[in-house]
Amino acid sequence: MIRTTLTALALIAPAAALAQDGSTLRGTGDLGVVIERATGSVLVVDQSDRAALCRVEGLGDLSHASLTFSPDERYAYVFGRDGGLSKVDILACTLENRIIQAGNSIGGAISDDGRLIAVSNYEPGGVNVFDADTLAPVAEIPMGSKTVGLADVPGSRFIVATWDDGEAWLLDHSADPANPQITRIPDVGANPYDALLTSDGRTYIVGLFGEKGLTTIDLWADPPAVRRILPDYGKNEPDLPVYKMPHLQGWTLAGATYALPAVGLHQVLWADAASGQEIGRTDVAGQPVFVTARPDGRELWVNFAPPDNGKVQVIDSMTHEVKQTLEPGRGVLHMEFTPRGREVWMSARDDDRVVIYDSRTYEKLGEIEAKAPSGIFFTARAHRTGL
Amino acid sequence: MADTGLIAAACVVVMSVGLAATFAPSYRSPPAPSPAVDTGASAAAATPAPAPPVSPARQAELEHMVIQDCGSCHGLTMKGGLGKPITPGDLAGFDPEGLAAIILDGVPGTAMPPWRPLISEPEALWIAEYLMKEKTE
Repeated sequence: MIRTTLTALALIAPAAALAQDGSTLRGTGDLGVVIERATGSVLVVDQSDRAALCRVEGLGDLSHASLTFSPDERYAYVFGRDGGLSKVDILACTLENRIIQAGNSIGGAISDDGRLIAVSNYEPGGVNVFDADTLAPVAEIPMGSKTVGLADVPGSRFIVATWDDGEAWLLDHSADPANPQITRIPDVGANPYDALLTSDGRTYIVGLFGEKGLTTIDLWADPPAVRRILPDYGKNEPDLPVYKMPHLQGWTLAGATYALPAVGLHQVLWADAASGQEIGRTDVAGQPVFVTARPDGRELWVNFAPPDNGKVQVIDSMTHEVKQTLEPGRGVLHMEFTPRGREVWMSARDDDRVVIYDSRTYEKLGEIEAKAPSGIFFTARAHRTGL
Repeated sequence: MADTGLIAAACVVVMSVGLAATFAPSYRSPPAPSPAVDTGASAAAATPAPAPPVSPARQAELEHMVIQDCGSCHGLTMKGGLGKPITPGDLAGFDPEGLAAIILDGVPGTAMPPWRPLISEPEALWIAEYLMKEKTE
């Protein structure tokens, strides 16, 4: 521990000095932020150098933390479990602002104009919206439910699903940010555990824990059109225990197909994006958590819930076959591709490091020490709808 | 590797007391926790089992599992998330055996899975006792 702390101090000094005296200009396009979940800190990393630049501390309980970037890629808004909303300046390596906005939160999003930050909460539920500059409260939307899968929709809108009620709420802040126009979409399914918005902003896909299948919502239709997909998968098979909820965020369309984690089955499900029909399944090494497409969609990288969280499998999106089984480290929680897909960075929580692999040769390129790392977020996310 | 344990240890004080005498080391056997079966006199209560059912090394692993894996749903500080809050205050009034049963078999109809495939009964009881204990911050 002492050694780790010393390393941290050594890291912080040069980066902070660099940014503050202004002697060296730099961009943020190849930077990223790694959540250190157990210590309430984040690590600012440099993709090009495959190195950590500095650490920012004091962000509270970061179990299940996520973040989103400002349009200029300078600020990261970090959503913590303890209801904390932290604004981190990744250039200066400082915690610029932090508020406790609720009792227990799960994720957030930034509006397409970069002005509003929305946070979805477990306790007391609902969504709170803040000014991106000051973190001053703008709107509070109680929903009487835990909320999951909050995403930004083009036009100063947000969408979120409700765990307890199985609804989706579309919030339109374009006319009056403080009083969003609310469209409630009922009967989305039992216990949505997460959701995502496709990068074109059209389709909101909701994963269900309380029943089989997923739900897609077409936001280009008026009113939004709800469709159940894969309703029958695993119907005749006993459910396996789920030791960690799958995630949908971070996913992208692989070609013309959705590749999605099954719940309670050790499989990845394939559905035709146009018809919603199941077109295949791939047996994998455990309960999938993230099924993440390489940016070109040619491969899918899958990590797993305990006890299989030391493995990562690579699936060929053309053949649907597992082509690689890697063991990058213990407790692999997240995978993030560099924006053009050349490298994949994976957090090995129980090895206290981020490991970096070549996404084509599957060779390890490097590693970065980090304290119980979870989510890895590169700044290119700033320019993608739904992230 | 060592760092991980130390981080976990920084959050809580590892308690390794007591349980040794309570249970025989019956890993993954019968559905209900069974107290040590004595063939002889009741005086056997004065002669505890020679080895603890959960070794200190395993306790460290379990502690890590509680903080990290249980923490995925219940929060690193056990104040709740998708799962209920399970701080010592929240668990006051529960008995450890009942909690161990929930840990082992889950709560059907909820997201709480059965952990029986991954841990033994004495281990579940150790976790229950661990969760109920006030930690030093």
